[in-house]
Amino acid sequence: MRIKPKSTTPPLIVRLLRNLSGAVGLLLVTIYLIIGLLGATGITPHPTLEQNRLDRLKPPSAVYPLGTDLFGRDLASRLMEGAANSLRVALFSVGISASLGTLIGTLSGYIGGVVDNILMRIMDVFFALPALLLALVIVSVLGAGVNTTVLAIAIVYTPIFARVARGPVLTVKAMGFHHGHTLLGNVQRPNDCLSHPAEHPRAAHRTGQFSAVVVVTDRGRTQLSRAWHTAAESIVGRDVE
Amino acid sequence: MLRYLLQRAIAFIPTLIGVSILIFGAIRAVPGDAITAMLGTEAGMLTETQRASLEAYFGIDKPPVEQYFNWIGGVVRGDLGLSMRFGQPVLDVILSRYPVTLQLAFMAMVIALVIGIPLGILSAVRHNSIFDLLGRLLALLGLAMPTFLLGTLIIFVLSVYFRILPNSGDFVSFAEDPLRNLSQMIFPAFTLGFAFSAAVMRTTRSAMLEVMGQDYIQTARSKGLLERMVIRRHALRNALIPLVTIIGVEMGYLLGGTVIIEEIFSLPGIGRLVFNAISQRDYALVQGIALFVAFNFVLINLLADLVYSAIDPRISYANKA
Repeated sequence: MRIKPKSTTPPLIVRLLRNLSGAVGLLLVTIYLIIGLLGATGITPHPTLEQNRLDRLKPPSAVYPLGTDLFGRDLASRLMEGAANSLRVALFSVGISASLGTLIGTLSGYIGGVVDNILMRIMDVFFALPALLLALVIVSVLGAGVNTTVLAIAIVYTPIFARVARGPVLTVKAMGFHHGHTLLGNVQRPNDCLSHPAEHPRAAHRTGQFSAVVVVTDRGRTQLSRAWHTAAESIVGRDVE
Repeated sequence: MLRYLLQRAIAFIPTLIGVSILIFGAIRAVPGDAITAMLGTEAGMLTETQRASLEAYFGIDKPPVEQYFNWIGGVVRGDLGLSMRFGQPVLDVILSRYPVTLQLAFMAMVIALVIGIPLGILSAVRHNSIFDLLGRLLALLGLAMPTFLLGTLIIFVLSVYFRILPNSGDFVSFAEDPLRNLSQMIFPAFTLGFAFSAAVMRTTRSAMLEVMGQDYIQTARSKGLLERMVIRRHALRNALIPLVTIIGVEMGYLLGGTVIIEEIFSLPGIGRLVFNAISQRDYALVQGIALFVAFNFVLINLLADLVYSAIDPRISYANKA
């Protein structure tokens, strides 16, 4: 019989608010989420594709909070739509690679032996393959878009999560309490592994990864669509090639 | 030691074979055929015989499995095939671009370490001081700012406010004209190096903080060593291991080519080569680069493992089976 101990730690949100950087971080994330949600639902100051030839390259004003681009489109609205896409990509790509990678890494470390060897060698292949090349090929085959980007990033990140999850599993496997579980007659099942060793580093890694992927997504999307070209041109005012 | 190296080298083989199969299949899944991509609209003027002879010349007329084994057979003998775009051996094309990427990666790494390590040490030694705060702020900036933004900003500031175009004209190699070469390389290298310096700084800081709390630091201090010596000989050396890990990973990534930075600064490196090779369906070139970069990657991993044992004698590969 298991007795669930009463938790003495206050809920996550309270802990976050008590810590200064936690509170600031929460605020920033909330703002980003609101912007992204508004962008995703299309509630933007202007339609994102509306071109206004007379208002090309205007500085920020009451009408255009962040000014306009080369085609007289409202930058703030476009940024909101972009934020929504970035969030979507980050959420799904990390969601997929974290669950898949953690599962592979944990199982691989837990079972060990030949299975571990085979799984990890497969992960090595994806690790060694240049990420950019893989992403470019995926995009060339399936066409650019949010889903393709999610797939490309998920494939690149899965082996990283697998490695991160596998390490602690190996450490804990060598520790006493795991052996204790076995001695007590608890059936060895991968679940034990997930409940004990992997939790902590996994959570830490995931939060770190999330922000990293948002950045990577933005970079990735830009490089795949070569949107920086137009951005650079509108700033520098010349052909950048 | 020799035995360990040999074992590691043998372990490379399945990884590289996996990479080769994956990339071979993937690039052939890209729609469009190589001959049309190579000749553009002129491809329409080819007669059946001409097209067939071109395909035969580049060896893409055979079934895929046979193509793969032909290619791998060549790779084993050091022949990566013929680039359709350049009409030259793939290895020659890669090696002509590789020095640029290598130099860029090396310079970026030096810049990252020169900025990151001292800041990291200072931040850890003066924990929670103003230095620490500023260092962490800088690191946050480096992590948060995408390289394409920093690169574009640098070009913008230099050209608009200083009237220097950092990379006007053709690229010159270091051997031809060192000064001109450096003036072309320093800004892209700084852009990449600044972003990576943030990771270096944070890793150094956290590793140093952990080490500084250890008992042997206390011992070193109590035997009367100068604080300088304590930090350099006892703390830093032990904090280097995680640093080597991230340097290895980053170096592997940089040597794979950095498309955005190479594009922004018009550098003829591996990144742009692969970008163009994919759009031109230059099968042999894409395969060659993938294999080359993957080989680099595993080699750097091995090098990092060897450096571990040089830094920390407790990690030894000499007697391991």
